[in-house]
Amino acid sequence: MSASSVVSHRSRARWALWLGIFCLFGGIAAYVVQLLVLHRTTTPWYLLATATIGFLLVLFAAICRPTILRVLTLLVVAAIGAAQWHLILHEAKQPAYVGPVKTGLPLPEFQAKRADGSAFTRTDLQGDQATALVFFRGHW
Amino acid sequence: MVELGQLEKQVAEFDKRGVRIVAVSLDDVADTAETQKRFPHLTIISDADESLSKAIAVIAPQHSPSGGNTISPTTILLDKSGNVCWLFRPDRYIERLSPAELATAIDQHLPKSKS
Repeated sequence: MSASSVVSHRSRARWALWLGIFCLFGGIAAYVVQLLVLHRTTTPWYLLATATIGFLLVLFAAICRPTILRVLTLLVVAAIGAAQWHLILHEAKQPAYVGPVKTGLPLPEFQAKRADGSAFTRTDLQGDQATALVFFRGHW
Repeated sequence: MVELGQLEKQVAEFDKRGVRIVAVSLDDVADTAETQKRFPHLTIISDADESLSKAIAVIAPQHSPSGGNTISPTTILLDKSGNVCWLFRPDRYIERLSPAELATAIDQHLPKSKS
């Protein structure tokens, strides 16, 4: 291999390394923008693509020039990418609803509380307006 | 919290359809009172005792980051008599109905609620 082709090979590997890192973290940044700027709460399927492409590019860079730093970077990129795959495909998955709520019937009896501490029960769901009851996972 | 802000902004759309938004979490009354101040056009409910969430089976046991119980994100539409017209649970807890999607669901499942 000539000196110029070695330089070109190294240059490609360096580009692959930085592009791979950019892909991985760019995907995460895009999700932050999706949530906080666009306010869209859909599943970020693109994270699977950006994590995989990022990993493959860094893998290529590490194979071309297997320095300790590149191997460590590969491990970090692989760990973050695997976490994204796990979160989206497994961890975030919800089972189908199998509870007692049935169309056409009222909810079972319950007693929750309004913001002022007063009771909020099933009868409070009746009145001159229909209701969209929205359950939130986390804390406000 | 992003979702609450979006629902609050679009409250006129729901008013137009004769629907009020009732948001439920497992937070205590003190936290719920603070949230109510920030989103005055929504009805914010504390289900800290899990009475409502357990009655309708939307509790996800030991699923919160701290290992405690949490709620599976779910939306239920009820007519004026309090009868269920529609239940929606997303495939993944990171998904939510947007206000526009909720308005569409109201139009489809609560036709008599339009004013």
